[in-house]
Amino acid sequence: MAAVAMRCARGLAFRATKLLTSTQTPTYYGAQTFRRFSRTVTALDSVKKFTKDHEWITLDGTTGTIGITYQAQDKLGEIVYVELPEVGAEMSQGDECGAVESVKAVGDLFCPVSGECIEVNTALEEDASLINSSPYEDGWILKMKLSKPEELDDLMDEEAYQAFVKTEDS
Amino acid sequence: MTLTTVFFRACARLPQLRRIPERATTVFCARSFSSEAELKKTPLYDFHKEHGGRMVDFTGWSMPVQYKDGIGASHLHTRANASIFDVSHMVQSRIHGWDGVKFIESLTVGDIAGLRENQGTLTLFTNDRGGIMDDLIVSKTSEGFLYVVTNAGCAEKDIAHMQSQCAEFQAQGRDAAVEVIQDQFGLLALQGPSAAAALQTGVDGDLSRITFMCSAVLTVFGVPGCRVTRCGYTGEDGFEVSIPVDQVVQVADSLLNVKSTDVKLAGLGPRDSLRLEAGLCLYGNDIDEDTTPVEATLLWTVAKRRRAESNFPGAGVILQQIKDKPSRKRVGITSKGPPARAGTTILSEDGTSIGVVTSGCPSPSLKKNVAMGYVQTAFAKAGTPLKLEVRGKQVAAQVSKMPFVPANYYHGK
Repeated sequence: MAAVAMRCARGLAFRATKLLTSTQTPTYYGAQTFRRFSRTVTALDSVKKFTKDHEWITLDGTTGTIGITYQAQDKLGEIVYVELPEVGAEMSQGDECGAVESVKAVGDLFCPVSGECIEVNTALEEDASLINSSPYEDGWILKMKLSKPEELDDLMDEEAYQAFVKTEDS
Repeated sequence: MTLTTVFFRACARLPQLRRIPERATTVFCARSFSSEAELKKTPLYDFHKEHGGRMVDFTGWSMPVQYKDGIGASHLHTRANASIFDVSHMVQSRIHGWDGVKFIESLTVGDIAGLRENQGTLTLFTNDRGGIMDDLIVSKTSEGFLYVVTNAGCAEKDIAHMQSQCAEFQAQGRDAAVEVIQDQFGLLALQGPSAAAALQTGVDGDLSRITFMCSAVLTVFGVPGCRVTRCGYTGEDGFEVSIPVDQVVQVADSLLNVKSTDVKLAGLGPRDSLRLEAGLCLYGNDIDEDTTPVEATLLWTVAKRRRAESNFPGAGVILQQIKDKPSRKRVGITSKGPPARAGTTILSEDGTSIGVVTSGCPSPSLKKNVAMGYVQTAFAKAGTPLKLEVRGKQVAAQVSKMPFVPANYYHGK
């Protein structure tokens, strides 16, 4: 006879620091250097950008790999189903391109940038909880060929994203 | 991604909820509703926070939706072991007076007079249209009053209803009174296969003598005057324990510390997935003022004697519907792929809209999706293939018997 209300926007657990520094995140100085001087980055120097919708994107040439952040998976809880976008679909920045579901919550996925979806992580069809255990690596969701790489400039770098998460928490 | 959350319409919008939103993703409680400071707190509020409870606003109460383990793990733990749910936000009342039974019968559909001493039943408040105002449990105590538990989301509505009807009843010269005791007692639901073993360590009497839906007043872990009712909302064996408000923490703490069992705290998140697996209705989602007990397949709550006497609100409508058969029925639905949440349109195989989902979630026990909804009666038979329209895509589903997970109620040795 009870019902559940889940407060999503507030109360995001800010436990990201340890996790994020353990992944392949460049230093803040490095990230700014890349943004200022180069759009072409090598696989070793991929820059991670973040959206206000709690997605991340890393760039390798013109291929972007996209997933959801630690905070997003933490808020959702154990992920049981991922709706992956269609390979070959042309999408614009901000388009709804999929969903991530847990027992009690649904998170819509929005394209951080425009381009063509070239690959999806089919491993998630077998084990959606990869997003929980490895949100930045094994839990990647889709890869896109960017049509407008300059859109990356609209997104937040890691420092800005962490600050943004803090303001959402309060 | 936007972190929208699926939760029940019942949150802070009762009692008028009827139209289910097109998309099941809904409301950010945080932005729309009270700040933490304005929310009501149960006796276990600090206890929840100390144990890592993630607190949310539920109908104006600050309640834990989950703890560190997460909803799926907590759900499975309840089915395998035992969990405590704080349900102190629900409204506990007593009906006093010589005519107490007649009074409560005038509002409900059950055979309250036929209850044995210390036996209880699930029943329904109905309105003049035959719709369900709330579902509740009424127990006939051996202390001379009826013990009533109603939904937190309907608190204002139910209390006003009982009090106004009682005033009219008294005006007819009859003897009944309504006493709301929510401020004096907290309520804990201890549920799971090891619930009895855990509770027994704190109780002198033999709990095996209390069967499903029966109750007794016991001293629990040193706290006298606790009403222990063998019932719950999970489909498992379990107890709802009404405890004097200053000692709720003591009982909860004692249960968590029982060495021979592994009782854990659980929040409203697993409470909801458990009840859905058990095929139990959630007021505000699966039943409301516009659904009759016939449509909701809750006809068993309308006792034979009451049908014959036709003496409850909306009796005419309900009895007519029993004769004519309802145009829609509540059914269980199973599917795979994207879960269908409340508000999802149900289609027949040829794509015609035939109903709507009223509750749905992935089932942690069954590893598929379970849902409840209403479909046109012609499609209500178990096994009927359906389609669910989830985010523009049609997902295969079928009508399924409920409960989805077999019940384990204790009916005695």
